[in-house]
Amino acid sequence: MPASEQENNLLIQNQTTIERLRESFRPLEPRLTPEVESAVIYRVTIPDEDKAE
Amino acid sequence: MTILETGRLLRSRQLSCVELVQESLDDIKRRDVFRTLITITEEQALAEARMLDAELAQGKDRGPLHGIPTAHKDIFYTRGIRTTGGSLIFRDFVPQYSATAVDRLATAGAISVGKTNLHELAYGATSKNPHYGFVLNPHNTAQVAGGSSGGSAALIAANFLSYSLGTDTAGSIRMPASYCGVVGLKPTYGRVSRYGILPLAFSLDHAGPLAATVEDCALVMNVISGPDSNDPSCVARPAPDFTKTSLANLKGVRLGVPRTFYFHHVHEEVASAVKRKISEIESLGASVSEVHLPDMEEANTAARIVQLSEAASLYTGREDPTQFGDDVWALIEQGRMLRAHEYVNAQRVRTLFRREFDHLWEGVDLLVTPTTPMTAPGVDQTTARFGDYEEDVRIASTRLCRATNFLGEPALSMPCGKTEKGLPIGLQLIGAPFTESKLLAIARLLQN
Repeated sequence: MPASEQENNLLIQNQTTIERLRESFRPLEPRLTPEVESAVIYRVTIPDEDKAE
Repeated sequence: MTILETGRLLRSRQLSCVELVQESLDDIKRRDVFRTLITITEEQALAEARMLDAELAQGKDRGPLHGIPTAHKDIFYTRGIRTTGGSLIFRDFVPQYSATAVDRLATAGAISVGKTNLHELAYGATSKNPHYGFVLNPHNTAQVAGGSSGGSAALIAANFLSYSLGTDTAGSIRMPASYCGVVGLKPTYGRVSRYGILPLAFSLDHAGPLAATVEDCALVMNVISGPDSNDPSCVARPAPDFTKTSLANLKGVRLGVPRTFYFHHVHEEVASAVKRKISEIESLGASVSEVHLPDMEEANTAARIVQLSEAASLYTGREDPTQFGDDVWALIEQGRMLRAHEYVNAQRVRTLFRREFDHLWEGVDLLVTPTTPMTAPGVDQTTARFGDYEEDVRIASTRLCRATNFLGEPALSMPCGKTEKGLPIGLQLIGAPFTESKLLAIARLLQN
């Protein structure tokens, strides 16, 4: 198979994988109301660290 | 032999550190058809052993790991010793400093004899490394060791060494531990410093021990855990003594058994072994209740988006596919296809799951599940079949582990019998954040 054809096939495979991932994620989107922030971006440690033990 | 058993021999002078290291190295050279190591550091290891022997002779004892050989996964920076990450792009990389976990082990008297093989850049589930060789499973060399900490798990399973450092971004400690029949602990996010470890996905990466026994895992945790000013994601408060908690039974322990997900699309022999273990836990006094979990498939989906995005960010500017294995390059390319808002939304989903799990932990102390839905796949196997359902081996291998990286909860894999074909089955214990002591105590009781 010529290199460019192989590259095209890989590109299509990767795009298909990502499209499937997007499809799986779609049902979650309605739960992302404006008040749902990303805690992880602001603070990467788990917030309730003092609760355990 | 366990760390404590070996330590007794060293302290009673029935064995010297030099003899122990030399025997381990000779054994590795003679029997390592599994390709567990990328680099062997014989000279340095023997020099350290001589020094540690002299210390013992002078009455200086650094603790349980004094003189006990180990090998670190080759993404832990080791000062003056190359750290390849299992990749071509870092094949000549010699760090000028060591990872915090590596330094702490050295201070505790551990002797590193080398760097273990892994899936390239820790970005895969098989440890079929195209540059340094496929890591084979000591239980059956026709099977993979799992990944990405495959070399670490395999060298313990082969009885070369009793413990090793690994990392876990989507199951990379627990899954090879499950496939190789050893113990592996992914601690809570923030419990163990990641300073000096080649990252894969910043918000999902965890470092932790693999060992032959639960006790050995706890001993290693005692050394590597705790605050580190070099790692901003590390929590500030000191870690407890992980060997201290001991249980005679499980009275008062509330065990949650998930109704869905963790027992769906799981091979029968694996599910049966885990269910038998749950009955055993109940007979030890634990209360067992079925619990309803949020949709873990959704957690896995969001976690994959986070992982692909964060890993792609690390390899920005790398444009030569010949420098990467085909599978790793494909994942980098896929990560580049995701958009900024998709990454942010996946992180927002994380907040939702965090809340749901905080609620879950009010009712139970731990979840018990299989670590992997199957035993170690064959070296040439690309898909796994669960009845009518077929799945990519890589996705199947990480399916029951990935969500705990997304959440940050501690999770431990321990052996849970073998299949008729003699392949190990893994049991996973998942606990609330920062409850490693409890998990290790429960696991120790189950192991014994």
